Amino acid sequence: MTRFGSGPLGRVVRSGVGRRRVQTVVIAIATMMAVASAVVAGALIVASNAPFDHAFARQNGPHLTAEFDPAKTSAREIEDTARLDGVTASAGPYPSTSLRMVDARGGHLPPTTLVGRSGPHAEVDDLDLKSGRWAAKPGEIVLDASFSGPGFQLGDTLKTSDDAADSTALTVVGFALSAGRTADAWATPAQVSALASKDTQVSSQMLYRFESAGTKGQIAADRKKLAAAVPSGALLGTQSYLDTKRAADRGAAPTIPFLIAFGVLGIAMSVIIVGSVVSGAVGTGLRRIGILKAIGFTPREVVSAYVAQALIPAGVGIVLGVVLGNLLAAPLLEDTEQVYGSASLTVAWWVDLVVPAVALLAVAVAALVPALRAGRLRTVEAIAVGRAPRTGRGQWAHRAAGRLPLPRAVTYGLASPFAHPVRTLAMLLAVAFGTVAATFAVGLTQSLNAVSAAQDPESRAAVTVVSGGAGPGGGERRPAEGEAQPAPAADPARVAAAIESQKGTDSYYGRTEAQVKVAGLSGSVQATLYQGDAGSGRYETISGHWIEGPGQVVVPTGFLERTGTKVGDTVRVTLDQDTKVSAHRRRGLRHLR
Amino acid sequence: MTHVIELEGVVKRYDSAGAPALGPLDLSVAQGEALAVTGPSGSGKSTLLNLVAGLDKPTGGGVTVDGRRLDRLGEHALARFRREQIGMVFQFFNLLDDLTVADNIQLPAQLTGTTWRQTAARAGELMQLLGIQKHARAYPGRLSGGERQRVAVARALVNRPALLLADEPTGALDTASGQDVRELLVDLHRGGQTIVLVTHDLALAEACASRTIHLVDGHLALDTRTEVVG
Ligand SMILES: Nc1ncnc2c1ncn2[C@@H]1O[C@H](COP(=O)(O)OP(=O)(O)OP(=O)(O)O)[C@@H](O)[C@H]1O
Ligand SMILES: [Mg+2]
Repeated sequence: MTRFGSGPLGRVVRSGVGRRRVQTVVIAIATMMAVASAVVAGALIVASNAPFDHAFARQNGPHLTAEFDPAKTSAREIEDTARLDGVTASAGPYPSTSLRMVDARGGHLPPTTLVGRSGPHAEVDDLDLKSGRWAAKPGEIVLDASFSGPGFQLGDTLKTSDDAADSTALTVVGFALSAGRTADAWATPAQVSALASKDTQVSSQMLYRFESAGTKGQIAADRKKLAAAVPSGALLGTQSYLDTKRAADRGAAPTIPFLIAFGVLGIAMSVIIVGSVVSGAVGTGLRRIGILKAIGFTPREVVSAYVAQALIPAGVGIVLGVVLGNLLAAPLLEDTEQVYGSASLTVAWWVDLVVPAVALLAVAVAALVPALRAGRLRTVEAIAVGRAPRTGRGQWAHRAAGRLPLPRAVTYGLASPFAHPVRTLAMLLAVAFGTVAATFAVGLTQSLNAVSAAQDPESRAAVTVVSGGAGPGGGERRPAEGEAQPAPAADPARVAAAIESQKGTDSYYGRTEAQVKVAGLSGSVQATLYQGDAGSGRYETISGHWIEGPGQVVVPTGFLERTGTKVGDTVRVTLDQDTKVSAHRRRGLRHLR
Repeated sequence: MTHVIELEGVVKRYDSAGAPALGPLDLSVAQGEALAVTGPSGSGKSTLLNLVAGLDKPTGGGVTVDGRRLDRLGEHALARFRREQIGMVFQFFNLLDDLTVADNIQLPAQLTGTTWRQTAARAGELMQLLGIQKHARAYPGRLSGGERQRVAVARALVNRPALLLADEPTGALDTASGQDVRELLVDLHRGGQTIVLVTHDLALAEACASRTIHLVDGHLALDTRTEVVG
């Protein structure tokens, strides 16, 4: 439209925008709030919808992680697999080994895959260094970010075994995150190779991305190609990203429906506000519209003018909203990060494009409806002073209100909203939506924090002490191979006495993990056993209550399904001695405030 | 003699029952004529003017203005016709309060695609002529009734319309301001502008019309030609 800028339309639009400040400001603020909330919601949806996919894609994670036996194939042959048909990218080979490391307190870590890499960055599996730095020389180790916490800190020293003579000390210099979970820890290649011994075999790790890796079948076919490319038996094992993804996605995203509602509410609110503001502008601007038409504005030009009059402040609001949304999303994304343990998150770029586009479209449509009414308006009636279109709107309300025993001024006011039922309803809805959205915003943050806290009761404790050896009830004993003597078992009674003698201890509890047998179930079940004031180690319960004393157990919902029991039933659990306990269902994470 | 306005059997009804608000009416207005339309309130004067302006459509009959059958044009074409051929002046000015005087006057010219330079020159010329150039940057709300009506006249003339329509142009003005507008119309008529002027004011009609028609209940009751007295 060439006549838009400095032309008559532009002039009319600008005067409509500039001289009607309240209307302009209301539209700008409404769209800003809506876009900000939609950006926040969108970012959170993307982040919590596919935390794995998100991080995996960003790190260019491997579709397949393969371990080769260097004794059965040459480095050359392994490197050649990178050029196989269908391989789009690869990294490695890296020396890799599995260790059972021992921390400074003598506690044993679960089997740890240690990979030798000279840096975090690579074409495939481009790691995020969350803190510290990369291992620069032998004797340094980078742990997976999931280790980071009170138990493991930068500067801590780990030993590769209990055997003092045979052990290497590794200092933790960084924490890194691998979305594809290619390793639990990293060191320099030289360090990993140096660890090779009779007990610790070093294999070669290769990371691949394939052209087709969407399904299990495709991954299997890719794996076949790899196996065929090296001598038989040289491919020790592979790990598909699909399995990693399944494990990572489990239990994620209980908040998504809420987030979608949040974003939709925001947009809906701005549509209602913009619609009613433009509608109000048309309603109070009847004479203006009549004049425009009388001097020769075509209906289409009138419509454009009124839509543009809304779109200009809306455009400003949208830009501000995107900025505000990105600012607000940052701390919330951090919360999400804590909950899902995903890699560092930013607002997905397309959210910043799609939300403004949708908002602009929604505002345009919202403004179009009353603008079309303006375009259709009969000029003669609009322009004739004292003959404004009168439709007899709300006459019944005025008559009804007139009969009330109240002053006329009051009854007139009472009846007025009924003369514009749509506008009144729109304003009511806007207020209602606003309230809901505000409640939601507050509730959402609280929920995310609650989820985070519920998942980790330990974070509520002021001090966490990790003791070596057996905990209460004779926890799991993990004698390391070639271990001279088992780690000394801490005596629970003496530990309790030591803690109680600490001044200022409000309450404490001890917990340990153990494998228990449950009558009627094959295999064993991982159980957490508590000692002391278990109440503060509480998980939220869906039904029933948290453990209040001996003879009680809280179980996840799945346990009830597997055993065919319900809350209040008794199950038989065997540890060292028979313990009779009653079952209570444990609250999952699905239940949000 | 070419006719700027040709009405043939024009009828306008606002509701299906009862007598029509206007007509049936036949009327021709020649180029350069200044026609005054008089009649009691509710006699159909404004209705007639709106039909000629293409702001409203007749219930029956044909309305031809400047060779075009307005009753057969669509909304879009009517708007284009209006901006090019019609200048309108109203009793209550109908200026855009949120545009300056200069912008109000220039707006219809810009609609026709005239260049900014030409538009500004024409508006300046009209403001000079009507003695309102010192208010060019002011908003209409600041102006007196007479000044506002002169702005409205300038806006109506900016596109050199074939037809100037005025509905009670002095109706909201005091005697002195009314006198100004009267002189303005007389000058325009002398300059050859075709004018249709609706008014209650017989003195105004007498002063600046070459022909006066009198409507009663939508019917033509009187049609007299007069010599314009300066
Ligand atoms: N939009 C409308 N809807 C219904 N009736 C109308 C409308 N416009 C005019 N009328 C009726 O048509 C008749 C003629 O009205 P019109 O406005 O043409 O009179 P007028 O001669 O201009 O009167 P006045 O001198 O008071 O301005 C009147 O009876 C009026 O009530
Ligand atoms: Mg009238």
